Amino acid sequence: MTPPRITFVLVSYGGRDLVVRCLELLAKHTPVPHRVIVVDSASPDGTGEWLAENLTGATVLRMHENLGFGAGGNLAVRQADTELLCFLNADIEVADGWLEPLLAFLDTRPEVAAVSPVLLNPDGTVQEAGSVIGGDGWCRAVDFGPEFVREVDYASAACLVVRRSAFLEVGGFSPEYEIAYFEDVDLMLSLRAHGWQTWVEPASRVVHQRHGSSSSARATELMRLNHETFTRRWPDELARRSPVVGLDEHPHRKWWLRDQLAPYRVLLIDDRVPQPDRGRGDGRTMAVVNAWREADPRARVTFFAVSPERAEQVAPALAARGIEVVWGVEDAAHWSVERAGLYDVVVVFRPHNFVGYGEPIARAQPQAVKVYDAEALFHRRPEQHFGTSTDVLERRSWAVQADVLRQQEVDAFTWADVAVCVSEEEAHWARRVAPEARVHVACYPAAVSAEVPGWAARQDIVFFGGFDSTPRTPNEFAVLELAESVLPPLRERHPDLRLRVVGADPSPAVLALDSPSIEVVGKVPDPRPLLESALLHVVPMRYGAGVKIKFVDSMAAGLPFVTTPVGGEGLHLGWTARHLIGASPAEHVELCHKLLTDPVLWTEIQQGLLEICGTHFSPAEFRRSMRDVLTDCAVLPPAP
Amino acid sequence: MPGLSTHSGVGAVAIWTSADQPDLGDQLTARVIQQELLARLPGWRMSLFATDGWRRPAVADGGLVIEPLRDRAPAELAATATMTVVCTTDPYALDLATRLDVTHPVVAFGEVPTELTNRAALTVTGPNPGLLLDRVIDRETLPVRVAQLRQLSEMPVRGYDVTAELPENLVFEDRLAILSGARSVVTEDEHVAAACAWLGVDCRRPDGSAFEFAPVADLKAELDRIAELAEHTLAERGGDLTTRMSVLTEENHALRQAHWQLRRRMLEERQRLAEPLGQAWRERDDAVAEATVKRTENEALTRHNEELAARLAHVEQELANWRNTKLVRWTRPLRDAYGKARG
Repeated sequence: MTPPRITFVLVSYGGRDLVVRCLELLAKHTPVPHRVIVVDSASPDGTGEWLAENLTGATVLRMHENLGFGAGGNLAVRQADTELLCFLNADIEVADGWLEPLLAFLDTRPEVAAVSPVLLNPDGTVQEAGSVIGGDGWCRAVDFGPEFVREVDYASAACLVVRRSAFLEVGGFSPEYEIAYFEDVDLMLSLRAHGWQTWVEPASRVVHQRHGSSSSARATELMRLNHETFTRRWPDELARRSPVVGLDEHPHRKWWLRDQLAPYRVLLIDDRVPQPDRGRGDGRTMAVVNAWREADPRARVTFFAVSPERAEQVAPALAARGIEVVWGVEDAAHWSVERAGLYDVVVVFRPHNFVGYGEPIARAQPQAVKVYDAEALFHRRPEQHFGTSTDVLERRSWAVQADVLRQQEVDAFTWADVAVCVSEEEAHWARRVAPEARVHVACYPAAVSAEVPGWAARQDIVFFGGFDSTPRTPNEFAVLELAESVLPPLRERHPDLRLRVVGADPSPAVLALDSPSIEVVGKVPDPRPLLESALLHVVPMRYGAGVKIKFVDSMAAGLPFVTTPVGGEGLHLGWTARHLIGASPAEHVELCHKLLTDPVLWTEIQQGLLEICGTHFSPAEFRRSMRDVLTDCAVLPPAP
Repeated sequence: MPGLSTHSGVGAVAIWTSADQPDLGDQLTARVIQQELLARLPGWRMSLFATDGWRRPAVADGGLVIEPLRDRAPAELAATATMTVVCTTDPYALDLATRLDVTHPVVAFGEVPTELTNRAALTVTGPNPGLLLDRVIDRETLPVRVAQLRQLSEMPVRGYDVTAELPENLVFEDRLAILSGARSVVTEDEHVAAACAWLGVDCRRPDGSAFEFAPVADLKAELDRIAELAEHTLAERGGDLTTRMSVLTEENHALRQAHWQLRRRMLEERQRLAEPLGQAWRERDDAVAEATVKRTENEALTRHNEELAARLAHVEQELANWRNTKLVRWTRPLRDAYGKARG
């Protein structure tokens, strides 16, 4: 039988019923093997005696005098023989599934000594998701802001899982403190002084009833005495912090204190919480957010979503990876003033977000390095429409739109200290309009499978791209042209050829294409199997800017594609371009026909595309590009 | 309990110990070798093994995660590490060590059977690792532990001598704390004596003779050799040291870039701060100068005012005196009557 990994430690001073109730809940909701040690700190009401006589399945230790929580904890730990300890107050109520996330967290993070669940009030509101320690030596529970996995200044020992080796390494609870208060705060600082970290894991939640075992006058006195001891022991550490008293009058200090352990704080602003399965550039945004996240697990990465679209569903996955997600903010400038001076870097994606959010937010963050991530040059799309439209009024409207967007983009690049584009062509334009900005190219990471199916294992053609449920999007134009002008002549030569239209939120016009020869698949959780089963990816797109991620995904799946010069921009196609790029429907028909009938050429193109993908769009290449962005923002790159 | 770690890191050293046993020597050797090798091979994974490992939990192990050797095949164990350091005298572990593939480098630490010495790439016999506790325990925590033990009445408040073996169910740190607080220690255990030497506590054998240890520099040199062997092995196995060098060079370059940007940023911020500060200083100096002028003017005006006040007082006094003369007082009714008559 596997020996227990964890010992639960309770220190009691009276409150027999609470201890019994706590242990009952613990036994009921803790399926892993464990030990329990209860230390009675000389309860005057006979609790110790009663526990010693009646408690089964637990070791009861009795102290001869009330030495308090710290001494009780130290005594219990001396009897423990497990890898982990969990300090529990008797007024903690655990529920199903409370422990597993904490153990899983420690198993994956060897640098973390202690992890705490979120403590809830009996009414379910957050009581404490870790706490901050102020320069005045007082602490304040973090019961504000979004919840996410993060390192904390201090987590209460009311419910705290600690590695026994770390606890012993730092000397355990200091004996300098009176009966209660501050000994756990002191422990956290000792752990940090020895290179350990303490985190809060919101996937675990317990209720803390907060029944103190001392009278409030006595509690106040103990707090005062131990506060003195605490400030005496940690003067240098406290000197670096803002005071906790007066935090409500100076709200920005709350965030300073909350995030002060982070090696850097970065704010990323984009349309919505990234939903990579829906296209619209979200996959790339997610990759950029990931790069900032992975550079240092202790860094504060805050994602500001302009729109609340599907935030409730998508944000938890990001929060579980330690990303703070903010949405539903009405006054961005005021929001930033509340966090004045907090961020080291502010990253804004797309020109409309720069105008509406990035610029107003950055005003209260004058210290931050400003990054404009272009994702694409947006003014090029109306320029393309201007070029193809024949209606005078429409052309005028496109011209005005292009002018406005161009100016916004010039302003954004000029505003930025560091800029990121997805292709060298766009970076060249950015460098020209904003010579002061340091412009980088970071496109999109696509991992090539070790083995991709060849010609024989594939059939039919596919169109891949999101539609946003709206008419007249570039993808809608493209699929309509494919269905109306390319597919019919192609089917004359290949009568059995079928087209699958894959992509989230198809518009009514796209849905109307559904027929025996065209299957509108819509959104799929993972497009890869469809891309790996098709013979050709055809997207005759007339409008669009930047690198089209769909083609990078296509390359990674070993799927040759046929598109327009607009679609092929920034893809480093080299010699393969002459087989893949056509300007008119007639050219597209010819290119498709050739690839559908020439397995040797098809295979050569597939190999060529896989090579291009591995060279220019590999995760390693993207990491390298993002490393350069980070270092230009004065942020240390991730360790190799 | 998580399974055997296969995370590659840079390289991995398996340290076969007797840390599932309670004696100070069992605990101390494992910890010292782990920390000293880690200091020489940063980024490497250092895993502790013992015959029963975590299957035999003990208070004395202090919560160390020790993988069990029992029921594991030599091939499996060799596959998880670049090199194995054997520092245990447990027969099961020693037998297992001799069955490791001959291509897998083994370092024998301490007294081991000839069979193992013969197949070991390196054999280290001295000095006792207890002399090298600097990376294992923070000296400053020992007085805290002493205070705790005294608070819990588990240690005498006044001076004491350690003349018997310490109880088995004490954690490693408590044992050191007890030794550190002692006036003198009498023991036959060489590990206890080595720890006392590190602590600076007088320690002798029961017959009164002192322990003698080789210079600690010898042990450091041996550990350097073990680390070199580990790096060599890694290079031979994966040939990955060159790659690593280029990765480190690249990282070094990136770090320099980030550092340079940070300095630049600091300079910019300093200048941005200094600009308004300079303006504020100039305004302050101007204000001070202006205030000085005003103060001088004010003083002059005050003086002038005082003079005028004094003159006024003098004139008023003169007037009052004049009004008090008999001529003025006595002629007043006459002058009043004259005034009325004139209308």
